[in-house]
Amino acid sequence: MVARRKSGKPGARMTIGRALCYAFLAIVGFAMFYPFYYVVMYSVSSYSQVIGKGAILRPYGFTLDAIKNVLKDPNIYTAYGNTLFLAIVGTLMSLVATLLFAYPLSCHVRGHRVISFLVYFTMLFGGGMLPTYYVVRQAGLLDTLWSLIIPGLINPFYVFIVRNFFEATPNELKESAFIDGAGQMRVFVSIMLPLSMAVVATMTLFYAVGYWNSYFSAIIYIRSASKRPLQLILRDMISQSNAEDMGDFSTSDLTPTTMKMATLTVSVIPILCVYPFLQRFFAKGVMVGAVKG
Amino acid sequence: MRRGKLPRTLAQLWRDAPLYLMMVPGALFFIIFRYIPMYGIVMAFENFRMARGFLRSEWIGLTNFQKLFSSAFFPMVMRNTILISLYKIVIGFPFLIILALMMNEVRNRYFKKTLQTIMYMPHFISWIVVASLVNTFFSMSSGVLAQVTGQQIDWLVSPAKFRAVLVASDIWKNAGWGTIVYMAALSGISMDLYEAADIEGATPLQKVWNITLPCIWPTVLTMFILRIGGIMDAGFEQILVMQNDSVYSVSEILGTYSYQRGYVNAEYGFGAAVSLVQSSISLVLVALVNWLSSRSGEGRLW
Repeated sequence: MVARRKSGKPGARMTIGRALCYAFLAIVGFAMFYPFYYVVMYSVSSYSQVIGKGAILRPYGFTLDAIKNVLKDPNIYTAYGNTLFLAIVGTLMSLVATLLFAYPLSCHVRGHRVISFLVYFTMLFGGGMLPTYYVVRQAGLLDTLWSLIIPGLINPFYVFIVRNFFEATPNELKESAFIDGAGQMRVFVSIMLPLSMAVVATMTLFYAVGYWNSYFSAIIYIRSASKRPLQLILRDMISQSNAEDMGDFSTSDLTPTTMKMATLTVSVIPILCVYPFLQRFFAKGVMVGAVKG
Repeated sequence: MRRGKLPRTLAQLWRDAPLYLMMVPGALFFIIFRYIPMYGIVMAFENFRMARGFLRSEWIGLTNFQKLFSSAFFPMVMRNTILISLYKIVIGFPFLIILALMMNEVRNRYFKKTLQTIMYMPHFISWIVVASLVNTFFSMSSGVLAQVTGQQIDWLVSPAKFRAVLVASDIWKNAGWGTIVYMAALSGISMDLYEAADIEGATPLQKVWNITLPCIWPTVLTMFILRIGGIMDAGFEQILVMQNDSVYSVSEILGTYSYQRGYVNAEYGFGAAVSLVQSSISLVLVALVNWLSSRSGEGRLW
């Protein structure tokens, strides 16, 4: 009894069961990490030296030529620009629309229950791709970058996360501001928003990642090569390198495989660099909002 | 009293006017891009022409549905949709919980933190990137796996093995992220319960079974209902980029079929009929599961 108390937190001892947990988790973690590592190592390796090496752990014949080439390729360069536009402008628009829509719901304005239900219903049922396509076409958005933002402007699930987060903020703060004569907008901007940075950060990240990764709306709405986002370029490179699955026999170091790896690296790195810094917000931002669902 | 009511309502609406104004952009979005397309489902009952729109296209009743239900593809597509979803649920759902329970046993803060950062990573990349990683590792001739083991296995083109690849890559991408909800539920369990169990001399497994699982049960149920709602989807974006002609017969699902016929072949009415079947079934499923779990008194969604 006494000895057990000394070990601190209950169940802090290293048992065989716990050791197995650590081992299993280490394997899972490795399986999730290694593919990223492999791609990065491959894209900074020289093709002639890395070919046939199997599971590599370090770069072979270190070179940045492939990465540089990707960033110079006019197609990829344009696509990168389009994706950046979506990730910045789209995220901003989505974020503002979501916050503005969720705040009144959290104030329980007249009709908030009906509005919430109507929003919730869109999560369960929808018109589907073809009627939406027709609406987008009629709205004159086809083949514009706006077609990748506006038809998916708000994620209804995020509305509820944000609403619940606002609801969890103590009411006294708002009320004392009203007594001091502040208007609704002012209370929202100067009191509620600064208190909600955790959920704002989380939503920013989720929307940005969504825009960065989305490809399906681009497949159906975009025609011009100059408006294609990065993901579509990647998709073409993949089907291209699948067609040449028998292996590249070119002598140049800039083979389709190397270029594919370098493009993957270039497309994944920005997100993987940003997200760990925002990670600490997830738990707070999402959980306060999602528990009530 | 009755006389005072209307002016009071008006006063309230006037006071909240700025709030309603804030909702305008969102409201327009939901009406134009969610509710009008919902009305647009009528195209499933039409010989839909883009130039005529869903108000003026020729009404053909259930013809599209008759064509769909009598098609030889329908049973295949239906079976693929349900099977792939069930595999993902049966294997993926418990795996998530086990993963969360194991992470809950980790006491070393740095190990836990690093692990979480790594495990959330795949959630943040697109299915296109995942598909190309899968190719890089599982390709029969030049894949990393083939090079390491020296065995050439046709993972990506064999109808017998392709569904396993779909399930595995789905778990790889989403398992880590999925644990967040459970980790939050687990962190809410009071330590007193475990201390009491220690005094009673409970084994670690008994503690998991008798304390941890009952405590996170409501979360498990809620997540399960949400999962059921997604059954008819089966992972459209994933399958669209990962499937190829050799595995078409085991991977074509309602979503990809609707896309292929409706969008690629421009049979808009028929495509809309396929997706109406898909969304109706999933609505019924969610309502059913929700009703069942509200009868049992826990974990209902609404």
